[in-house]
Amino acid sequence: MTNMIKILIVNMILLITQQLSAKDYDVRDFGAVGDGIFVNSNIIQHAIDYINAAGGGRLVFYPGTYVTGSFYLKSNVTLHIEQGATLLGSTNPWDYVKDPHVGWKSMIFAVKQDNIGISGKGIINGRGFTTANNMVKYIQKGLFDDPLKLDRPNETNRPENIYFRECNNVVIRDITLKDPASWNQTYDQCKNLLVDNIFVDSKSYWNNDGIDVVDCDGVVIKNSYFDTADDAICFKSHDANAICQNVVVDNCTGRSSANGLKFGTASRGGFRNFKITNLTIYDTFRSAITFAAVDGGLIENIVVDGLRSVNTGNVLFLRIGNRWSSGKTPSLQNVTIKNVYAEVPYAKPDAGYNYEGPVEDNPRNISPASIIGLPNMRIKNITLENIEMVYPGRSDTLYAKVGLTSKELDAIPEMEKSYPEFSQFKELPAWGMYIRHADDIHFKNVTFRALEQDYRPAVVMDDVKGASFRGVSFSEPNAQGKNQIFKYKSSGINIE
Amino acid sequence: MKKFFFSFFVAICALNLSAQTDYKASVFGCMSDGITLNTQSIQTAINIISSRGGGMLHFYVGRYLTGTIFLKNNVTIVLHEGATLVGVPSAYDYAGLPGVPKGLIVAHGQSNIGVVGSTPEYQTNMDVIGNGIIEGQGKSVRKSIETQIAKGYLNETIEQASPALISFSECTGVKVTGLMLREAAGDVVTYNDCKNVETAGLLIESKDIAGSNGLVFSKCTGLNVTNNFFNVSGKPIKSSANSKEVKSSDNRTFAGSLSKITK
Amino acid sequence: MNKIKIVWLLSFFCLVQVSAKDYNASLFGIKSNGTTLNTTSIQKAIDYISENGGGTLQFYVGRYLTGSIFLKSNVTINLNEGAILLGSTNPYDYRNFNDKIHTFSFVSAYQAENIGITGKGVIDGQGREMVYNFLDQQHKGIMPDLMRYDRPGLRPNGVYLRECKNVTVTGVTIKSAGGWTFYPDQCENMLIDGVTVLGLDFWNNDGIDIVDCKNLKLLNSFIDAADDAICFKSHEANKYCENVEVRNCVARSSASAIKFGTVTAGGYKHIRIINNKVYNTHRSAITIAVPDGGFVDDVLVDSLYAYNTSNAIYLRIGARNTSRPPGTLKNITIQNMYCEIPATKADVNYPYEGPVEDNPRNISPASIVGLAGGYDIENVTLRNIELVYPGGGNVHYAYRGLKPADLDSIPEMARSYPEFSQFLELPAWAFWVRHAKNVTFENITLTAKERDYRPAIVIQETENVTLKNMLYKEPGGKKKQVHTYKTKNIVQK
Repeated sequence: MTNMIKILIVNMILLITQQLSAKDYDVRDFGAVGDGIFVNSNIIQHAIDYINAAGGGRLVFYPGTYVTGSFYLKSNVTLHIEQGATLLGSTNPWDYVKDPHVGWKSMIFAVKQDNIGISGKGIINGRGFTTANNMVKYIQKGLFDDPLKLDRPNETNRPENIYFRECNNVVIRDITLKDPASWNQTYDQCKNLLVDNIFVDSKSYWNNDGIDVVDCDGVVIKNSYFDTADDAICFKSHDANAICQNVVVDNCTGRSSANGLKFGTASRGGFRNFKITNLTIYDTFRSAITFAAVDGGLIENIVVDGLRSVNTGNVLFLRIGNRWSSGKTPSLQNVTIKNVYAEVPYAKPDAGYNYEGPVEDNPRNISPASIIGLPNMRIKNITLENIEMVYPGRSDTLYAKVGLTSKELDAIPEMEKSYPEFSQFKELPAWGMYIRHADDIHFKNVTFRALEQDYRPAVVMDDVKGASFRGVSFSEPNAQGKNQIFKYKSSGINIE
Repeated sequence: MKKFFFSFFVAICALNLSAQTDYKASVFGCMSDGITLNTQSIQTAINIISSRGGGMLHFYVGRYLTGTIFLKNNVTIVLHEGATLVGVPSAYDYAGLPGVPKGLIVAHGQSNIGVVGSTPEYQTNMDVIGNGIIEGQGKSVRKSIETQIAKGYLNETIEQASPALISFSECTGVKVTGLMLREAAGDVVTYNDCKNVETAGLLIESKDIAGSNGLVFSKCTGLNVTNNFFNVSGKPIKSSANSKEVKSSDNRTFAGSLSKITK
Repeated sequence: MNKIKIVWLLSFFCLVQVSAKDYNASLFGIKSNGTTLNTTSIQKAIDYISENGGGTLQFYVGRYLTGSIFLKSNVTINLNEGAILLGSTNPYDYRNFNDKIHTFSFVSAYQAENIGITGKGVIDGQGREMVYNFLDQQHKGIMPDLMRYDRPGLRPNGVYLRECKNVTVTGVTIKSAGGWTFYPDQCENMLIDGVTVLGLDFWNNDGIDIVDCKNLKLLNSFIDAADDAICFKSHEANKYCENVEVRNCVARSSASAIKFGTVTAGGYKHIRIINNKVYNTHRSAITIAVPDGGFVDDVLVDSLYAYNTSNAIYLRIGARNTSRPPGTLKNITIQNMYCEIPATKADVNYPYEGPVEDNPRNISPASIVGLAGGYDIENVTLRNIELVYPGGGNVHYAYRGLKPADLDSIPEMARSYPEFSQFLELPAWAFWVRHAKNVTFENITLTAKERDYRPAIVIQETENVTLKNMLYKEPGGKKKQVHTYKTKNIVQK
C-alpha cells in the first residue's frame, strides 16, 4: 500500500507540471466585469469554451469581484483566481442549472473532462445563505417544486460551489472556498485528484460539507483547512458498483458541527486503501473520525496515523449498519488507527459557531468512542495503537444510566436501519470505548483518562471475539481497584 | 402548506385577471433597478407561464437589464409605460437558435406570442403609441462584439454576433405593438417564415450603429405593419423574399410618410 | 418678525442642548457590531434620557443595527463620524408610532419638542434589501398590500418627524429608505443644515418631503434622489406649508429637483427658494403643481441654476380631486435662473432612472398651465432667465401646429397626474402658457441649438401678458417666435 501511495504522489507531481506550461487568458479580456454586480456566467463560459478549443490554458481572474451563476469547466482549462479576486455566487437561484447527468446544482461544473483545475489564492464564495433563502421564497410561491423537507430546499436544489463528475487529472490548489448553499465541493467518480493548500470556510447553510469525495480513485488531499457546518472531510460512495480508493489525506485540519473526517453516510460501493496522516480536528460537534459502512459497501485497508482531536464531541465511531444494502453485505475490516491524542469536552464543542449542530439523542452522558457492528455483520481486525483519550467523566446516573447487567446491555438496540451517528444509541455503558459485534480488536499502548469520576467502566465489550490489550492504562479519580474493562458475551480476550 | 401558498399566489395573479392569466415580473425576482441582470429570472418566468398554459408577463415602471430571452407558446410580455427592457452590453449574453439570428427576444416555432406596450392608467381615450421600451444599447453591445472579434475570442462575423431586439422565426400569431424600440446592435425587428404577424404602434429609433434596419422580414404570411415611426440608420423596412398578404399603412420617418410596402 | 422669533427659538434650543447631558450608546448595551439588533436598547436609551431631563445619545464609530426607533422630547441623537444607524432588513422590525398615524418609518418622532439628529454619521435604512423582503411577504400574501406598479405600497420611510417643535437636523447623511428619505410633517421651527440625503435605493425614494411645516430652513444640503429631491407637500386641507426657506442646496433627481406637490390638500405660503443648483434631473428643475384644490401664494425662486435637466419650469393647476373646486396658484416670481435642457435622457446610469414616458413628443417646453373655466394661474413674473434647448423638433415624429384646431385640441387633462410631459407634443419649444393671467416675461434669453419646427413661445387662452427684452437664438432663417391665441392684452416691448 505504501507503494501505491508513492506512485500516486509521483502522478500528482506530473499532473501539476503538466498544467503549469499552459497559456494564460485574462477573463476581463472576454468582457468579464468584476464589479460585484454583473452576472458573468455567459462570459466565463465562453472564455472556457474558447480556451478549451484553443488547446487549453489558464483562465485568470485578477483582483475584482466576479459574480456568476453556473458554468462548466472543460478539458485542459484551469481557473486561476488571483489573490484579491473573488468568484462570487449569484444570489438568484435561477442563475444556477441542475446538471441532468449529475442531478445537482452547482456554480462550477465539470462533467467528463480531463486535466482541469482551480488554483490561485483568491476566493470562491457561493453566498449560499442568501441563495438558499431566495430559493425558499420561490418554493413557497409555488414557482419551484420542492417538498421543503425540514423547511429547507432539498440539497440537490441548492448550488454547490464545485461539482466535478467523471473527470480525470484534477488539481485544486491554494483557493479559499466559502459559503455554498449546499455541499461545498464534490468530486464524483474522478480519477487522480489533487487538493492542496485550500482553505474552506462554510457555515452558511445546512449541509455545508467541506469536501465530498465520491467514488474517486487516486486522491491526495493535503495541507488544507476546513471549517464547516456539516462534515469537514467526507468520503462517500454513491454507486454500489464503484468504490472510493487509493486516497491520501495528509496534514489537514478540520472543524465541523458534524464530523471531522467521515466515510459515508452514503456507502454503497465502499472505501479501500486510505492513508490519513497528521490530521487535526477541533471544536467539532460529532466524531473526529467516523467510518460508517451502512449501505452494503466495504471499508478496508485504512490507516490513520497521527490524529489530534481537541474539543471534539467524540473520538472514533466505527459502524456497520444495514440501511440501503439491497442484498450486499457491508464490511469494515483491517483498520489501523495510531498516534492519536484526543480530548472530549463536557460542554458542547461547537457552541457559538454558525449552524451549530443539533442537540440530539438525549438523555445521555458523554459518549465513548465506539466500534459497533451488527450480530451477523461484524467489524474485523481493528488495531488501536499509541493513543491517549481524555474524557471529562462526570456522568450522572440520575440523568442517564446503562449498567452492566445482561438485561441492560442486551437492551441496547441494534438500530441497523438508522442513520449512523456516535450518539444514536443514547447512553452507553462505557466512558472510554464501547465495542460490540466485533472480532480481533487490538489495543497497544492506549491510555484512557477521565478527568472526573464516571459510574461506567472505561471499556465495555459485548459480543467480541478476540481482543488484545497491551500496555493499556486507565486513569480516573477515586477509582482505585475499579475494573475498567468489562467483557460480556465475549471470548478470546487477552489483557496484558 | 405549500398548497396554501400556491393558492395565495394564484389568487394574487387572479386579481388582474382578464382573458389570460396575468403575472407580475417581481414575483419571479425580476429587479427594476437597472443593474441586476435578469436574464434567468425572466426566462424562468416565461418557462413557467408557458408550461401553465400561457399568460401575460407584466413589467411595470423600471429598467430591467437582460440578455437573450426565449419567448414560448402563449406568452405575451407586457411593458407598461415607463418599463424598459435594457439589453446587457456584453457579446456573450446573446444567443440565437439554429437557423434563427441572435436577438434580445428570440422565438422559434412558437405560437401566440407577443411583446406589447400598455397605455398608462392616467391617460384615457388617447391614441398613444410607443409606451413600454426595449433599449438595445446597440453601441455598447456592438463595441463588446467588435472587441471580442478583434481579439479572436469570438469566431463570428459582426453581423452574426449582433443581436436584433426581436428575432422571431417560424412563429404563428405574433403581436409586437405599442412599444418604443431603441438602438439595436443589429436590425431592430426580424421575422422569418412567420404567420399572422401584427406590427403596430412602434416608435423605432436605431441610429447609433450603421445599417440598422427597422423591420426585416422574409417568407412571412399575413403581415400587418401599421402606424409605426422609423428613425433608423438602415432601411426602415426591408423585405427580402416571398412574403404574402402584407398590409401596411401610416408608417413614417423623419423625412415623411413611407410608401406602402409592396409584396 | 417671524425670522427673529425663529432665531431666538433656535438659539434658546442650542443653549438647552449644550447644558444637557451626554450618554454613550454602550451605556444602554447598544452594540456596534452591525449584527446585534439594537431596537429595544436604543429605544430604552431614548426613553431614559427623555425621562431624565434630556440629553444627547452619542453613537461613536460602528454599525448599529436597529428597527424602528422613536425620538422623544429633549433628546438628540448624535452620530459621530463613522457611526452608522443601520436599518434592519426585516419588515417586521418596523412599526407605527401610534394607531392613528399609519405612516411608518425607521427613525421617527411624534409630538416631540427640542429634538435633534446631529453629527457626521449616517442613517442608512438598507432600503433595497428591506423592500425586497416586504415584496416577498406580500407576494406570499402574508402581508396585505395592493402592490401598485408591481412594487409594495407599504414601505417605511427614513426619518419621519410629525408634529414636532424645535427640531435640529445637522451634518448627518440620511440614505437608503424604503420610501421617502426624510419627511418632516406638520413640524414647527425646524433647522436642517448641511445634511446629505441620498434616496437612490428604490422607487418613490423622495429626498426631503416638507409637508405642512412652518418656519423651516433647509440650508447647505445635498439631495440626490430617485424620485423628487426637495419636495413640498400638503396632506391636509386645513394645514399648509408657511415661511420655508431653501438656500444654498444642490439637488439631483430622476423626477423633479424642486417640487410643490403632488399632494396639495392645503397649500404653500411664503416660500423662498434661493441660490440652489440642480443637475442630471429627469423631469423639471422646478414644478409647482396644485392638482388637489389647495393654494400656492407668494413663492420666490431666485438664483436657480439647472444643468442637464429635462425641463426648466412647470406650473400647473389640475383637478384630480373632484369633490373640491380646483385650487389657486398665484404670486410666483422666478428670477435669475439658468437652465440647460439636454437632447438625451438626463439621468442615464443612475439607479432607478426615471421612466421614459409620454411619447412621441419632441423636447417639451417650460409650461404654465391652468385649467379652463376660470382657473388661471395668476401673477407670474419671470425675470432674468436664460434657457438653452437642443431644438430639433421634427414634424414627422410628433406634430402640434398653430392652427386653432391644433391648439384647441390639446387636452386639458384636469384629472391627470401633473407632469411637464403629460400633454405629449406641445406647440412651442421654449415656453407654453395656457389659462393664465398677469404673466410677465422680462429679460429672457431663449436658445435652440438646432432648428425647431415650432416657435419659441405659444401663449393661449391667457390675459395680460408682458414680454420685455426678449432674445431668441435659433439657427436658420428668422421666424416668428411668439404665437398667441385667444389671448388678451399682450404687451411686447
